Amino acid sequence: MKLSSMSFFQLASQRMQWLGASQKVIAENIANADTPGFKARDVSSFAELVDGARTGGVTTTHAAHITGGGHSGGVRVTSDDRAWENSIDGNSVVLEQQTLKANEIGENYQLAAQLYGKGHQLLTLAVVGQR
Amino acid sequence: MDALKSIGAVAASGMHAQGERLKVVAENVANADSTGDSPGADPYQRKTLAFEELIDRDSGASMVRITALGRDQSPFGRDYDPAHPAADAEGFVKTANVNPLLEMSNMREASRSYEANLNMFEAGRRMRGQVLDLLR
Repeated sequence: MKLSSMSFFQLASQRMQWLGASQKVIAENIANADTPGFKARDVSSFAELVDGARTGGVTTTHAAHITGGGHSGGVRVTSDDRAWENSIDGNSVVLEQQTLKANEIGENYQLAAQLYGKGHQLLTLAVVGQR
Repeated sequence: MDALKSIGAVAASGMHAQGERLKVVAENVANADSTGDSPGADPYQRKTLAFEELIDRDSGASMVRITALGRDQSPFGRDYDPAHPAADAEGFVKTANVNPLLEMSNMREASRSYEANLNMFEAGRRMRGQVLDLLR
């Protein structure tokens, strides 16, 4: 039994992957909060990651089929066009905004990790009959 | 290197850069009254530094590094003090081009940014801890 093939675990681990990548981008933004000319960055939406993994370009039914060039469900780094302001040195990172996002991501990560753990508990319950 | 690991490295590079900036501020404030020791000699010249984005080769993460450690080219101040060893023929002493107000606000910003990076480090650590908790 592969845990990742069960959609529940796959979704939870994708969510954690996406949140980890987002948190990394926030860390980069904060580290470069005083770098002249640095533009705040963001990542592509979680929905895009899930859809990309599901369709994965073209479905193949034979080994000789070309897999197609659809994006493989990775997380893209984009420029953050919702940054609150631009400072005089061309830097668009706002520490408050980034801190807000970092907190939000931290909470969501905890949620995803706990869900993953809950899934394990359910499986254990089904197999052993006790927790 | 995965995302969670590089969060710590990125935050640490930010902390290092802000720490260096704080050091330069401390040097400037400490030398705010340093003058030359011979008649007409130049006093302490304010130090400056700039930040630059640095792409880490291992992880592809964008870190920050210090570039262009330099000296402030703005003109020195002039004080009338004929008894001073650095006084020129007219009795004027050149004083350092350090503005304490500017240095203080610079210091505030550096320590706030340092704090933000520290929080980021902590957030990354917590997330890694949650993954490890899955093993329990």
